[in-house]
Amino acid sequence: MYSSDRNGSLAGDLKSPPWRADISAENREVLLQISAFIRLAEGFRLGLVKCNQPVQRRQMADLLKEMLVGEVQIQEVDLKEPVDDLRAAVGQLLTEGGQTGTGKRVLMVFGFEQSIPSEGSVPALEGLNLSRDLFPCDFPFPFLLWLPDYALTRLAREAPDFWGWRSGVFEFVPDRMLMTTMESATITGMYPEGLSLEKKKERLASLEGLVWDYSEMKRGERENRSYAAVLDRLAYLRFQLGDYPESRRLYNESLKIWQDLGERSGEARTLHNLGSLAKASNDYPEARRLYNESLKIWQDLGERSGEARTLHALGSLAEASGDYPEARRLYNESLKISQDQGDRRGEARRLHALGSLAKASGDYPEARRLYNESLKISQDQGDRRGEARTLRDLAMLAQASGDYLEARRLFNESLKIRQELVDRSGVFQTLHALGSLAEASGGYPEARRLYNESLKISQDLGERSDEARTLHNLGSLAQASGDCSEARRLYNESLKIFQDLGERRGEALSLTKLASLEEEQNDIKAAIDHITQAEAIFKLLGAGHHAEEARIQKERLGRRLGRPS
Amino acid sequence: MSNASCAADLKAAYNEVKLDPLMSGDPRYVDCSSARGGEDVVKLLCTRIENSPRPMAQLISGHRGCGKSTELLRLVDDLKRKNYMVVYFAADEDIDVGDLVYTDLLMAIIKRLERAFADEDIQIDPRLSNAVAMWFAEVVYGWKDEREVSATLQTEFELGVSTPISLPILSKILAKITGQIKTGQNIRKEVRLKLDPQVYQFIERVNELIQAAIPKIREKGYRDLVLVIDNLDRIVFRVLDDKTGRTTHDALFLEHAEQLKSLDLHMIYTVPISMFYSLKATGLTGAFPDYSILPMIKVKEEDGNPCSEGIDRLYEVAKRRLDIEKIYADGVVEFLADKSGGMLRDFIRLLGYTIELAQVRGGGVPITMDLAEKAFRRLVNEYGRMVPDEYYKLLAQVARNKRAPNDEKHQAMLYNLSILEYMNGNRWCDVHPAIRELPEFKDIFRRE
Repeated sequence: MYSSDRNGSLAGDLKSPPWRADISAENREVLLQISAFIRLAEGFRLGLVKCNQPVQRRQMADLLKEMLVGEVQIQEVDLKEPVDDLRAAVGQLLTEGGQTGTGKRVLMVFGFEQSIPSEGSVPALEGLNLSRDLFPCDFPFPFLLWLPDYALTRLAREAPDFWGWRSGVFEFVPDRMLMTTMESATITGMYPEGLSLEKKKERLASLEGLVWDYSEMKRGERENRSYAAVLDRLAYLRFQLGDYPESRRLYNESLKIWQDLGERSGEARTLHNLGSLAKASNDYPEARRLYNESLKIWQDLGERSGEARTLHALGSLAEASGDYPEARRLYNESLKISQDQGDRRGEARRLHALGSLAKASGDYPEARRLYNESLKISQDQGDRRGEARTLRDLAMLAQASGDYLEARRLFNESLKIRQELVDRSGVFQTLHALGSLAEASGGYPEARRLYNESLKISQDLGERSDEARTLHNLGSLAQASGDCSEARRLYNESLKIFQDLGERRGEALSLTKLASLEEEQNDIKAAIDHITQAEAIFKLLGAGHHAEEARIQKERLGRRLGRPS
Repeated sequence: MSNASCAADLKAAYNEVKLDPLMSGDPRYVDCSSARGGEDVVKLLCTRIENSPRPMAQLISGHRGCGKSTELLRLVDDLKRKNYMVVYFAADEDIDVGDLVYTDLLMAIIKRLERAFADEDIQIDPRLSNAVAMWFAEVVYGWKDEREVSATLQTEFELGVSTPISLPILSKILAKITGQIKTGQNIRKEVRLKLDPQVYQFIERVNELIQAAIPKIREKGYRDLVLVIDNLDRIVFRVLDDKTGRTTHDALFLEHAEQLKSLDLHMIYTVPISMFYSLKATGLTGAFPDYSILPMIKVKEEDGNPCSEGIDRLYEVAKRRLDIEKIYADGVVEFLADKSGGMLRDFIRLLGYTIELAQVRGGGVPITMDLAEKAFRRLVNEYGRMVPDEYYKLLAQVARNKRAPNDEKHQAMLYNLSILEYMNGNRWCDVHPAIRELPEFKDIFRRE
């Protein structure tokens, strides 16, 4: 019988649905649809659920559980890693989890988007297409696959056979309030480099959720502004995690939005960041071009602090290319602006950079003077981070001048501040530096202990470049203690990471070390091969000094092989 | 009606509208051939076999979800009833369809035949069987001594717990080779390299087995032997050569058509529908003149007028599964049939969506038009997700001209069912009704 009174009211049929005031009408309807789907379905049925934000996903999944409590037993599988074979991976995790309880089962699968990159080929989707007939045997109950928007679209287009099997697509819409909350949550703590890898991944997922939410929304000017800011933040985090191509893609996307908005300072900031990315990828001409473009905008706008920052970056680029006079000129120009602006922290940074430059040029008294000047400002300003940084560099200066005692004292002072600040990335740096100090003074067990401690932190933070550097140093230690196979293992590990990251200088250094190890072991052919690769990279980077050393080593090896190279 | 029984009815109804293909003899099967605008494909394939004095290879093709597997299972059943010995298998069970070459398929075929003969207790002369086994042992593994081979295989199979150890040597060697082809990436390449240059001898060996079996098959009262291979259309489509546009599908069905045709038994292969739309379609139909394509059920004529035959057939499909008069208000099922474009799976999907929406609304029946429209909206959104923006212009042209040119983009759209194909003496096409509702399409269609 047709009961018209029920027809209109959505929530009428559910026993006190656990509605919260902040769930939009659209999303309530989606919840009701999914619960109807679950209640009706017997045996395997594929439901696809679109939800971008991990927090929203959690919220919705919990609400579903509340709505269906006592009726069905909802099992969850959360894929933490990319998989090639969804069916096998889910089956595996289900078996491991064991079946608890009785009654009707429903499976919800999360995290498959990690197997679906936004660009490029997706073996996991091909596999899905082929294995669709096997799903009903393995999962004889409703199967809800949760995915963000872009991943669902890729699935629809690239796994048409699996998609053709769907018994429903349920789309949660972005929740504006939740988005606002997430946006502020991802701003706090401006230093993602201090977060543990796990926390970084969480933040990554939230930021990606925001990006997908924004990209599917109709955006006005305000939303575009937030969208670009979220893209920038995600790009920076990707950069931190060593995924340079994805970082570049995101920055370029935000750059376009800033440009469309006519928001020039946003444009300048993003250009600056793209420049830093190019620098990290060793593309110095491109980095210079981008920094200069950014600089031009700051100057047009009369935004002097931006100008100072970008000049500083250009200075450090010149320093990295070995052009010290140009670097000094740029640092001084930047220093002048900071002083004019009364920007004391900026001033301390520029002085610090000038100090490092003096050190690089071998003028230690000048370097010490500049560092101390910078230190004094940081202390006056209560800038503990700046203070710790400069103390570390003063320590390194002392080490370079052979005053190991003073160096250790300064390192420990810096370490103490960083521990107080819970600045784990800073703690890493200091421990690493203490390790080098111990190594330099011949205290190998102490050095190994310190390196291992710092290795653990870098791994925990997911800082791959730091990890590679530490592995490299541990390799040197092993080599010095005569443990050749361990040394080789460590060099190869660090080499692999440097190559993954495209950090060519690190790559060349690890290759040089491998060559020296092979020379020790009389594996001359391999040594020549590695040192030749290293030489080519050093040349490419314009690292003349290293290239020359490599060339000499190669010649020596060539003579040992009995024929000059 | 009380709400409880109402809900129970809806639940039962929902589970009647599953997307799985029907097994042969299922009372829910509805013969839709009259509404597909052509002859009964199953009857046609069957008649060709009956009338052919010589073994022949035929192709069958059809869109995803058009009822192809259901029809194929019906064909198997028909042939069996007509006293044919039918060996049926789904290609993706035996072969990695993500990476398949024709020798893999031939291996799967000989393995299946050998098993089928054993299951039917058709005794092959052990001398012949062992000679064939030794041929494979030597070509693939370089083994020459029969006793050694026998011993080696014996040990390997004793290690695998589940395989009965009394199998003849031929089954073991075939199981070993097909197993390696299916699972081992590197060994797969090696095996292929060894079999490829020997393919004519390979086919010769298969034919020897078949010829030895045929008299025994006849003795058992069978008329003949038929091999049906389903799901070959699931072979992953990949362009192998950017310059020539050569694809994985071309590699199997065009370049090795001769080999696929040269087995001495009746064969029915499934072929990806897109091959019939490619520029190479003439090559395919030249190689396999006997083919059948299962078109969509026609719910509209080419001029846009409703086709009552198709709507009636779909109505019947629903009626075999559901108590339509109780569950649906007048005109709703017809509306859904029309909006499915005659694609069986979308029709069944739409029935499911309406039932689900009725459950959301509190379980009241009959389901009225507003819910049917809502269900269709869901389908529209899903199609919106499938279609990349650059295709709308082409889709608008198809909607105007009712023709789909033979190029890669149209092939892709026929494949993902944004374009549906009907028979009416001639083939003609239209866009899926869900596409017509998309704002992007409407925009371009209006401007075209």
